Amino acid sequence: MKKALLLAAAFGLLAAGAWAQTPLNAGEILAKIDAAAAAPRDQDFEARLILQDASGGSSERSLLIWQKGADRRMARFLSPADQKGISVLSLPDGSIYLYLPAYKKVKRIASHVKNSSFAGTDFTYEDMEAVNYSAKYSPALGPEDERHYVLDLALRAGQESGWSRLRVWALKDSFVPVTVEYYDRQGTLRRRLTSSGVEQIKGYWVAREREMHDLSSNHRTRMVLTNLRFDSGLDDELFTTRYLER
Amino acid sequence: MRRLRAARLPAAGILAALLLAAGPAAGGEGLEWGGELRGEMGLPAGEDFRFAGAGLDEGRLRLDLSLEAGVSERLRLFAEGAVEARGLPGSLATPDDLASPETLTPIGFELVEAYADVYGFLLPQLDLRAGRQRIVWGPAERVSVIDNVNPLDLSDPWDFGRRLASDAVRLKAYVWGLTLEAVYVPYFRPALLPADGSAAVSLPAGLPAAPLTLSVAAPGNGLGENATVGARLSAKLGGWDLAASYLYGRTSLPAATQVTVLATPAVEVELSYPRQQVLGLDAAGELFGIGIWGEAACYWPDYEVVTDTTAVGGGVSEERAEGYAKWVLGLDYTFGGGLYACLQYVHGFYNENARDALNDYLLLGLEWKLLRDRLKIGPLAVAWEVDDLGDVAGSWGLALVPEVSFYPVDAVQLTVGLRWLAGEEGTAFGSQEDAGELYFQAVFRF
Repeated sequence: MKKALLLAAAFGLLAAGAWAQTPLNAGEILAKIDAAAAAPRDQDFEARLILQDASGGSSERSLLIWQKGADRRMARFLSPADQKGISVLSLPDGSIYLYLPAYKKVKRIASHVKNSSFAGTDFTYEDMEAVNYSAKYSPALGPEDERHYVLDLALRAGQESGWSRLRVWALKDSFVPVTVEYYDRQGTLRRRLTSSGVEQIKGYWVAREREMHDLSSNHRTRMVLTNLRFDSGLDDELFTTRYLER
Repeated sequence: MRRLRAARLPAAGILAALLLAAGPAAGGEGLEWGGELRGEMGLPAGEDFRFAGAGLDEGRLRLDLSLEAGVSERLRLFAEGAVEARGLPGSLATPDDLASPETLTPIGFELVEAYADVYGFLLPQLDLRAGRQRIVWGPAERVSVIDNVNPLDLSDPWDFGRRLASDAVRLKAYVWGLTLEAVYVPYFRPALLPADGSAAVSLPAGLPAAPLTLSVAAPGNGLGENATVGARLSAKLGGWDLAASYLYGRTSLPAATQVTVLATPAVEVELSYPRQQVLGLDAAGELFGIGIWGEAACYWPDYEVVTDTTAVGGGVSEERAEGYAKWVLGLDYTFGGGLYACLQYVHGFYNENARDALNDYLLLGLEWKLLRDRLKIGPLAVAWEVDDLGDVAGSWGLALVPEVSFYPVDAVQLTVGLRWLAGEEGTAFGSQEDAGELYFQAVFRF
């Protein structure tokens, strides 16, 4: 009897192993990428945005970012002086609010702004929102290599984005996207996002540096994250227009 | 150019001392300071935009300093002051003028804002702001018909939509997804008029052609006479931000309330700031990715225009001011390549405050950001004024304000622009045809 139980357990383990080795399909990989990005209950960090033009000139912006779940985010500029205090709030219903301290005004911004440059950087307002690829794109498997899953993402019907197609390279061990290529509606590759400094903090995988390269202008913006905190219990109230004005 | 405020240099000194005291800790936790240095110079275009014999306008150099102290999680203090120096000296008519520093180097101080924020005041969901503050109501850009708590600042007629901060108490409560705002302004403060103040005053139609004397009757010092109170309730419904507001205050611009026609011949007009009620509704949202907003306001002024013509054989007549409505509809969109467009239709400009004085305007603002925001073309603002929709050809007016700004490094802005007005005689823009100018600005923010 004991032998039979051991045999059954061994078969069970083998079956589980075989199950674990079943290749993930494109949808499952994308779901894991989204899940990894949305895993922390909340997070906040300081972002330095370093702009570099083709001739080597550079300038810098810095901002604080708070995020709760996958769809609530607040960003507040610390520098330069002409942008200090400007704050942007993104809410789950897709609405965006901008606070301009010089005018003491909270302004509703329509989604037309999402594909425009965020504060003169190579990132757009859409890039600065929390990522949920599955909701926007339908995935197809690309040719994976030893370390990366490769997915081709096509914009779903009815979804809006400045990009019709993305190609994503995600690390197999952490599901962190380390390269994303963005194709416009004509199918031309326009820009490339590369992430580095991938590490695990408090059990969550994160890339400390991201660089967006605009291939047509050869302009780059590097985003360096510091003072990262996860699950610090950010209050829902932080993501309201009440706090936007503070 | 904006007119200088009355010189109150002791106050400027206090602000400077505050900033100096803050110096070692500036940038430290809870205490921050910043500001901007702005220089402006204009070349009036003169008749037919020929710059014939054009001189300089008075010019100005303005230093704004702000100090913000986060005393605790629930208490924050903010103050902004400005020192403004005029480029041209004042009138130099006598040797005494040459010995007057105020005349040779005119300078003024303005306490722009100074207030304290208390978060969670008495109740967790209640915030208090007390002190000199700007209270912004309504989503419209610069032409709001609801934004009436603060008085107008018309010192620079081109920079319309500006308002002066008021000494006020504002309570904001956040409950059940609603925001309820209550304001109390104890001191009445009229609008700041342009240098030629009388030009901004609307006079009754049909006055005889005779020398005109204007006098102003300001409200007394009484608690009730001065008070302005208002409330605004806002909520989000179906993806739209909706709000209703009510304000009981005084007209910001003076109204002619007593007209006396004398035999000399002469006309005396007494201007005052009558009570009025304003009920407003506004909404902001989007459709198909296009930003949309609208405002509507009903004004009920409470005064009568008394016309006394007994000196010329007439009598005394009284005409009660009628209520009227103003509204704004706006759209905005950001096109590819950094081109932003904003279109607003306005019925009733900020200075039109009677039912028969309301005109219609179409305002188009274009802004094109290039070279990663290093170059900004715009606002290419076009304002089309149609006073009589049945006679467009005979009642149009047009204002164009093309402007180019260059940002050589962060926080430095160099601007050159043109202000051009044209239109049929009798329209707001047409009557100011000679007021165009070429202007230059340099702004350094820190």
